[in-house]
Amino acid sequence: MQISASLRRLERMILDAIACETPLDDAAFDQLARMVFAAQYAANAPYRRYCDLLGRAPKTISSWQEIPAVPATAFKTLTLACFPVKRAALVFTTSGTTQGQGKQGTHYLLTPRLYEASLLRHFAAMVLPDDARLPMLVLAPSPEDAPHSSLSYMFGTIARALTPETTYYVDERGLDAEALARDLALAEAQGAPVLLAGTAFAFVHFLDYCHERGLRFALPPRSRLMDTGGFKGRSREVPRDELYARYTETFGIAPQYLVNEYGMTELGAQFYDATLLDHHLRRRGPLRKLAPHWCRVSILDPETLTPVPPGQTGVLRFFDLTNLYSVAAIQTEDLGRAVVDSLDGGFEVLGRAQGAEARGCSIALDDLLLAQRQ
Amino acid sequence: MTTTHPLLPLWYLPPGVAAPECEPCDGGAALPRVTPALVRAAAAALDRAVPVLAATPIACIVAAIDAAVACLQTPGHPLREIALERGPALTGYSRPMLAHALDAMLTECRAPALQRLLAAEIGNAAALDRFVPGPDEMLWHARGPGRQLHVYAGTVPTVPVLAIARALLLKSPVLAKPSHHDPLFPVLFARALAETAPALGAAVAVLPWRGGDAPVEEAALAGAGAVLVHGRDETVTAWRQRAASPDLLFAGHGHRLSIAVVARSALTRANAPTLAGAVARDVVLFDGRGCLSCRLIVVERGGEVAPEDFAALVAGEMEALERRWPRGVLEPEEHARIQALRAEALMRRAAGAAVRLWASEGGTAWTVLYDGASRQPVPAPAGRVALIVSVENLAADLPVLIGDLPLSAVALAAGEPETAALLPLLTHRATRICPPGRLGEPPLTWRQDGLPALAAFVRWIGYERSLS
Repeated sequence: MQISASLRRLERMILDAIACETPLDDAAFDQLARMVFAAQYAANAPYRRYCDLLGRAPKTISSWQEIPAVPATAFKTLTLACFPVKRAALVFTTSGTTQGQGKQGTHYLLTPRLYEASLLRHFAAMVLPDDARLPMLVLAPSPEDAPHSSLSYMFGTIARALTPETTYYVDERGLDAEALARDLALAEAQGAPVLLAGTAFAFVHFLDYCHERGLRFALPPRSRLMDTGGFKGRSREVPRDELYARYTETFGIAPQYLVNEYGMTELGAQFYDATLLDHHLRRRGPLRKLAPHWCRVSILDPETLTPVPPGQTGVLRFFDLTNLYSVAAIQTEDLGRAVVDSLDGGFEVLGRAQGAEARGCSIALDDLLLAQRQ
Repeated sequence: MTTTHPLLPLWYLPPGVAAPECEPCDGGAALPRVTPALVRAAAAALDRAVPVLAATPIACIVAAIDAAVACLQTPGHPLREIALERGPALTGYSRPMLAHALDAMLTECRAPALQRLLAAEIGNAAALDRFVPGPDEMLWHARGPGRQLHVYAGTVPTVPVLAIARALLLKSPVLAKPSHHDPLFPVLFARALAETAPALGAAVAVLPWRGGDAPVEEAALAGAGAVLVHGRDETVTAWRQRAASPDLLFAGHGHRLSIAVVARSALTRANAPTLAGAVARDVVLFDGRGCLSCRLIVVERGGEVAPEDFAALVAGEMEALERRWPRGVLEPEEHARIQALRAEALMRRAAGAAVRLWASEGGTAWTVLYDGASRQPVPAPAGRVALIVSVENLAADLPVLIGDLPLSAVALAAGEPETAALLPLLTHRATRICPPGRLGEPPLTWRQDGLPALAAFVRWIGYERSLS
């Protein structure tokens, strides 16, 4: 099976949109989204039949919001790709621990191009808005150790493009807290700011490690931290406020340099707190996450799946152009709400942040770290 | 929102305990501020009820419980009106569902049922009053454990009523901690007892506090003779650890679910419609929240009616039951899970799997999902989802299908010879087998998780008289 010319053409258009300084406006997004839908409808037979069961087709919809979304959990039971999966350049799997009784969700990527372009552009804007080039200390396995983890791939991509050096502190033996503590002390001594990145689970374990030993760091200014995943581990649950206060206390990183990422294996795009961007732009804004302009967020009534008024809690649905070769419209079970006093489409993720949890190896890692401590 | 009702107190204290401070909460009600001092005062009042209960003949206790339940079953009785009018907002169940709980299910708390329970577990009920001759020429006296501490899960409103009744049968006063999912029914039952039999009303306290409040819970445990906990596994485990004293009796009921099993012999054209109605009832009752709610229906292929057609019949019955007992309120996550399940089913059907979906329109009121392809289905979530899977051969396929599901009960529809073959497979994990349609409404003598309903908390005192 050939990859259709229309998909290839769309890939170029989406790459151009990602690279473009001007964000896609509503009309341009709608046009691209409907073209993506038409191409996916043509190339993905199960998705086409699903749309047919729902009575939706490219010719019958009037806007991108009407494009049928696939539940994120469907990646566990079905192969959702617009190409023969043996041609996949990347295969990302979920840890499969949240719902499906051990079933793994699999996201096949024909090419890393869209994923990487989207990741780097938005990560740079949200986490490195000051164009800082910082050594990255990663509390997650390296891509070599976790070849099917989208999270590890993400760090590997950032390492190649945006950071001068990167060290991974998690492998199959667990978290090397000792080495991390040593390297943080070194950074502190040298006055060289760092970028700490990893799963919230791993950070909780490292914070406990530091607490038990009375370790505290005063990392140089402009050091920053990006964590991802839910705060609810197997070992224990730490409320976000408490966790973030401990980051500041233990690492000496100012609150405006703490950024939580929300992402899932089933989506090419990621979402970040706007804290660091707001700080960089010297503006104040409510705590919110921002999507890149090539991915739109809808918040729907969980019972009827119709849009809720702004500010009301609903389930998050994404239309992500970077999912060109799988399915662009993804329905999650994560709850969220639009932050009404933000003019930039910011949203909050509430509750269990299941999508984030299911990603990569977070819970498996939590188990490992827990075992290591015992 | 304005309300014409005064705030409804979501607690009950025996006479002599000063009213607590309280604050308004949702549903036009008020919650008490529960402090260790309040709990100690309530416990002291309950302990004063111990000798009074001990001196009350069991026949009077049965009559008093019967009368209190009768209040809740009497049309127009003020406590019943509170249950039906305020219950939907406070418990999340619809009024007709709550009316069914009061009318049908609480009948298992009337005198005949109470007497059956005493006969089943105590034998001669008079043994609760005094020494009575046993079959062994000895004299026996059955004594309760003193004050009981109960922690409820809030999934099925009648459970606390039955639990309080069982404690009173053992002449135990009860300090009850209701769940925030149902703070109402234990309070109403206590008020009914106070109305019909002040001595029993003085033996119950209902105080909702936030689970995990250590000082309050220590005060609640101090001096208790037995602890009964319904809840999540973590809740049960936490209480079990804290109640680990040699003199303290403990019964815990954690997460369980129930299933229906339909053999091909039961799937005759004549039988299928009735059976579908029964199965739908087992799914629908209490919106699938109870441990006796049916979360998986296993149907054997090869009967007169194909499993898929049976699923269609169940869908019709689900729709009819929605009109009779409208579903209550779900959490947003629960709606989201059901919608995801439906969409996944459509996706799998689109991909060619033997999956079919019937669903209420415009919402998540009911869902029937036939899955002819899954080897190890995940049981359906709460919220009236009938998940029907088909197997070639029950005897061969059930063990894999059941796996390590934490089963409570199985509704079994099968002929005699098949039943004999299937029973050992099912009772390996489940502790109750019943016909479809009866899953959610067990008799009072039901031994939840295999534990005796009364006898677990009884201490027997034997008296060997000199024969001379």
